[in-house]
Amino acid sequence: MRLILSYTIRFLLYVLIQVLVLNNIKFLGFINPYVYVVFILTLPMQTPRILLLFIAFLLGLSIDIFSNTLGVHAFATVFLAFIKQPLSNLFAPRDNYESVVPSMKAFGANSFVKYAVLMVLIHHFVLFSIEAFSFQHVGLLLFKILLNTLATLVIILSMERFKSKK
Amino acid sequence: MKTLLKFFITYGIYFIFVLLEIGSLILVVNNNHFQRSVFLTSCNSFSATLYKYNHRVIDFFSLIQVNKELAAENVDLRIELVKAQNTLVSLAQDSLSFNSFPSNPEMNYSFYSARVINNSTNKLLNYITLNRGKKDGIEREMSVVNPQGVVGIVKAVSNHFSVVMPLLNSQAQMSCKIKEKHNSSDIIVGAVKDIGSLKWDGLDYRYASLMQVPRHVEISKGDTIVTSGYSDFFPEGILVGTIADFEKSSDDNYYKIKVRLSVNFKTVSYVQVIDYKHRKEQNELELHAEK
Repeated sequence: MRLILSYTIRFLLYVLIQVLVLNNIKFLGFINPYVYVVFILTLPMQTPRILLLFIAFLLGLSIDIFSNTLGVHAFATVFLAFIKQPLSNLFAPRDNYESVVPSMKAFGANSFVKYAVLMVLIHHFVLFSIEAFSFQHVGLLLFKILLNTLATLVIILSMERFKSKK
Repeated sequence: MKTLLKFFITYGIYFIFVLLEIGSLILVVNNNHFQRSVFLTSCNSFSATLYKYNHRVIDFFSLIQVNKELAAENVDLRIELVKAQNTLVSLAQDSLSFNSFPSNPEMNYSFYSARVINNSTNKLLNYITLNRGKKDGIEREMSVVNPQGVVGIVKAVSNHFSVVMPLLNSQAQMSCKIKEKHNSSDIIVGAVKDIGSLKWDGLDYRYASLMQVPRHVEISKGDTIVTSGYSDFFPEGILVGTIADFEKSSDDNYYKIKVRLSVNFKTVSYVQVIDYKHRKEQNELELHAEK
């Protein structure tokens, strides 16, 4: 019960931070880190996949509602949630990984960075592709995906680093 | 039932994944203007391509109808052209307006459109059959042209058909003018060099010969041959052909001129029959004067 409450609060927190702070950054005109994905990244490994999908849909939809891009974030986040379990299995420690919550401490810095890079890259790729909705300007699209992935990763990894130091 | 449930338990996650993704995609397309427009245009380009190919096939079958309409339109345009020429001529005579005609009587023509339904080019006496006859207003001795130039003269008329004697008939003879080289158009302005008589020698359907042009006239290859208007069949200035070759023979006072005919008689398919309204009046008057 405490767990559900704590995750609900974190959910709301991430949405608020994303919508109120990060969406207003627009550094260099098109850098807009989407840090809310860290909520999906750090959900416990034993979360049922169906629940994961619905949480992701809800999370994406909340971001969408606030940023007037109905469906775009929902699509990308549901996709991310779908591939989360197989991907995290790749990087999780071999012993008793069922009860692990993905974090720098549990995974080890090396594995967690790889995991985060892969997840964020995939999420951003889907997100910006759906936003552009065509491959007419592939160069610009890839540029945007890479820069935003970098920005998101910098924030996510520094947050994780801060947590693991504590 | 058990296996069905098992199936859903094992693969339910995929169903839910696909369902949620489709749901978000529907949201994307329905609520974002940009994506909606792209989505619709890609659909449209598909249907447009389909329609294009469909039209390519269907258009072929409507060609006959289209050709008929175009031929009819050509006739209308020719009538308009003659009207415009008439007004032009009457305006040019402005200084004599107290006794000029409202329109020149010798330019009073009307046109009928007709289709060639039988044709030959390989005989000595070739004839062309048209799909219009007495009931459509065609009469004997009307002249026949197509957009390329002179075709021939109506020789016989029945109720629904008429037979044309084309230039490619060794009995046909026509009075023609030689004009200086000029951009080809039906009405040709430019200095008239001389008048001759055009006759087909029965050999090549592309060439005819022009006779009775005296040696002293200076002519050159490429000069245009147009109708003279002196015979009562043809309006003046309709293109007949161009000079392809000529030679002076030592024992003759006249040139031998080879004329490249402007009409391709092998492919002629739609023609216009010209009715000169005052032909009878002119004929009677001329006969009367000869008496």
